[in-house]
Amino acid sequence: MNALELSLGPVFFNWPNEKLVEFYARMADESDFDRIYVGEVICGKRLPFSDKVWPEIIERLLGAGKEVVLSTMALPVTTRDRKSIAGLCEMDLKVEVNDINGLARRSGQPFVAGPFMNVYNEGAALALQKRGMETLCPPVELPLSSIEIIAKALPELTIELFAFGRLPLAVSGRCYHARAHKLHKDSCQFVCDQDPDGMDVTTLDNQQFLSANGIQTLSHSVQAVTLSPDELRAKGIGRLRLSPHSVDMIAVNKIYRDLVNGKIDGEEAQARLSELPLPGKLANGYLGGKPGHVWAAE
Amino acid sequence: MNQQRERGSLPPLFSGALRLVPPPPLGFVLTRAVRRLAVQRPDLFERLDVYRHAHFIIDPIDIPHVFRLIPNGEHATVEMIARSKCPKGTAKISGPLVVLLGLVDGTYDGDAVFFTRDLVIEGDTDAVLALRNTMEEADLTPAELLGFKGDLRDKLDTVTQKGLGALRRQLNAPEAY
Amino acid sequence: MSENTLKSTQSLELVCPAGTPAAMKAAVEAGAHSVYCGFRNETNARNFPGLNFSERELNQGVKLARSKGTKVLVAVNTFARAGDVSLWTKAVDAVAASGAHAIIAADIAVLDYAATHHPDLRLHLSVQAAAATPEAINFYEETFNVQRVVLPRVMSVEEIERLNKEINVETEVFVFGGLCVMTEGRCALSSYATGKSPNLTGVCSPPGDVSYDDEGGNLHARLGGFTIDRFENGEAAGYPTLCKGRFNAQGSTSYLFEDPVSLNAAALLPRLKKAGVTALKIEGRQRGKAYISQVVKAFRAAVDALDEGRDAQQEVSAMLAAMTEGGRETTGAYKKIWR
Repeated sequence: MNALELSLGPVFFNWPNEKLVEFYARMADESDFDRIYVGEVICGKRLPFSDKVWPEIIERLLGAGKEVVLSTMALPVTTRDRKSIAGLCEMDLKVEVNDINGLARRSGQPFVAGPFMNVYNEGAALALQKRGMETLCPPVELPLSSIEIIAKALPELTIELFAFGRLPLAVSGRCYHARAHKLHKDSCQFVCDQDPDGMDVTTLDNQQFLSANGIQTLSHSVQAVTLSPDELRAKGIGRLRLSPHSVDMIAVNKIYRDLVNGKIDGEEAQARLSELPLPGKLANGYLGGKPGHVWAAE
Repeated sequence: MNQQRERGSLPPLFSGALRLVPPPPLGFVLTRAVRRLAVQRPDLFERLDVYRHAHFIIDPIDIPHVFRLIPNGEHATVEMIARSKCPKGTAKISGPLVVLLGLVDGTYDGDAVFFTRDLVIEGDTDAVLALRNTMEEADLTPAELLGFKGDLRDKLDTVTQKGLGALRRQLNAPEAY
Repeated sequence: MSENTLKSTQSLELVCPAGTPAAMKAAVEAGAHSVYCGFRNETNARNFPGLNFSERELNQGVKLARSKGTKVLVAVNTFARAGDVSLWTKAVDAVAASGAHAIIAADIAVLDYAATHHPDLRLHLSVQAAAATPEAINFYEETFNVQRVVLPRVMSVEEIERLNKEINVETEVFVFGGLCVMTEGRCALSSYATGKSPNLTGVCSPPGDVSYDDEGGNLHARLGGFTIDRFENGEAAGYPTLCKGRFNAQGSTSYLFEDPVSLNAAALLPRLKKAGVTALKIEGRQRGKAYISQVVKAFRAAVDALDEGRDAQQEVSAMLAAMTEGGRETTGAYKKIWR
């Protein structure tokens, strides 16, 4: 039986170029991810900045023997957004599609359908597989029971489960960082760079709830899939995706490698994750079809 | 909350007088009315779906009785029960009598009186929503519900409409939708 | 004459909500050109208790609407549950059998089934599909023969105008009613708090997960246990729709995502028409007959006035004044300042 793979998802947050370069250099040197996704998926306004460092980052990762996948934008609106997707889809690397826009560009060639794509069932998955989908990272709210049905129906497809990180819950035409700072989106001053893991959004009772990242809304809690490799394989999962945060991602990488290699059990993985300075409490409710914020004992 | 509830309430003297009315007949009349409706409009009860088995406690806060409605089609029951013996239901809908009557004939929008807190909902909100949407579809006038037909129904409706309108003004009830 | 000028010379089509047969009748009588509705199950995105149509009611509704010259559009616009796709494909069959004018769908599985098994049935792309670029829309047109797209409520009038020049299909835009601030079909906030969401179960901020708790004279409106808003004694309460609540961020409390306002783009109709829009959509399948009737009448008057080259703006806004939540309105993303 194949070993479970690990991937590092795209960075959702507005990290400065130096931080991106440094982060990926460390991933190239120290991580054992089987696959690394790179690229801006949230805000087209960040593109002109980070575009300058992506070639260097990609080269560094490829040089270290990593499989690199180019992630494309989740909510393309402007001509710039669309051109960016078109450009990436023409490149000779694997591409992660996060909007039908990218699918239109990439159709026929192999692609990954990211968690922003609405693939909720085997019918939709089959239609996309016919158009080149080789990996599916299902929407985060989709329960394991549904994922299992898709996996069984399409044995050729690799299912990559969103396994670690704040959950990408929504995207909008409006920028919440700009709004919270009483700025207009067009003159946002890139205030989202102040929150490397997103801006905390709490309730009127001061309960931790959500976090905002420009036009994106994420959970405050941190998704943590800690099922055993046998359980994961039984559900048809082939790869786990870890989403980058400020926390030491090499440490997270190690915990998950130990988990998928069967060196530690779920409980120990949970305990070791909890020792890290995570941006929120652990959650896994979505796996069992429960509210996404809860931690349900498996 | 109490202050909110008083808008549109019947004066205490009137409420007191109502205490003298024996409870069973009205429950009997309403039960018959709902069962008749089940024969004429089975679609409405299909619309209620699982909530036809729900126990709705309708609490006109300005009279001494509450009603328990189980809208189970031809087996539907409406009981009039003294408030002191108010049973626990699936959901409870409380408000002044004129407001509750206004919901039946469409004078009031359920959402509107709920948000102004002239109407208080407790328990299973899904059940209340199902009932509200079904009432909306039913489009009943009070006389129609009670089984009156033709000219007599229209006349009775005109009279009740005017009467209730006057009563609402008198009682300072929320403005009609 | 370009495609776009051709589009803009036609009269705007008014597409109105029908949560129940009674509401459909009200919309038809009030002058709707088209009405949209859905089945009483998870296949439509307004899956609330007591709402929507049985197959029989749809068939009767189509007959009634047709007799008045009104088109019926049926929304089968949720994402099919894995393993239960047949519930959705059966709904598509039922729409085709009813003689309805078109089906509104978002899920690729549903679109694929409709295009393959009912090629003569007109397909509209639901707003839940969130298709906002020419590439995406052209993909849906080429792949499934989609003939109209309901645009996400995140685009400005200028963007809509540019888009219409690059696509062949008709566009439909929301002009009145509740406003989704997140891109529809791309939002899991509701399931994060409650386990139920538009894409999973056809509901957002479901009433069964709502509680109103009186705490020290303040009413706390909660969803799945999270306080979404708080109202002082005597203050009118609101429904705790997650994205329209009050939250703390950056040290201050505000309606971070969206104020509790509703969309009213009545004043923008001439511009939307000029932008090449074909149809105007009114939100509110969960609203009562009285509401539907008033809003449809107002918009029909506005559309007729536009055709006759009259300015009916004051008259129309007077008709609509009472119909907005809390009386507050926004033109939403149609004006770029919203962002």
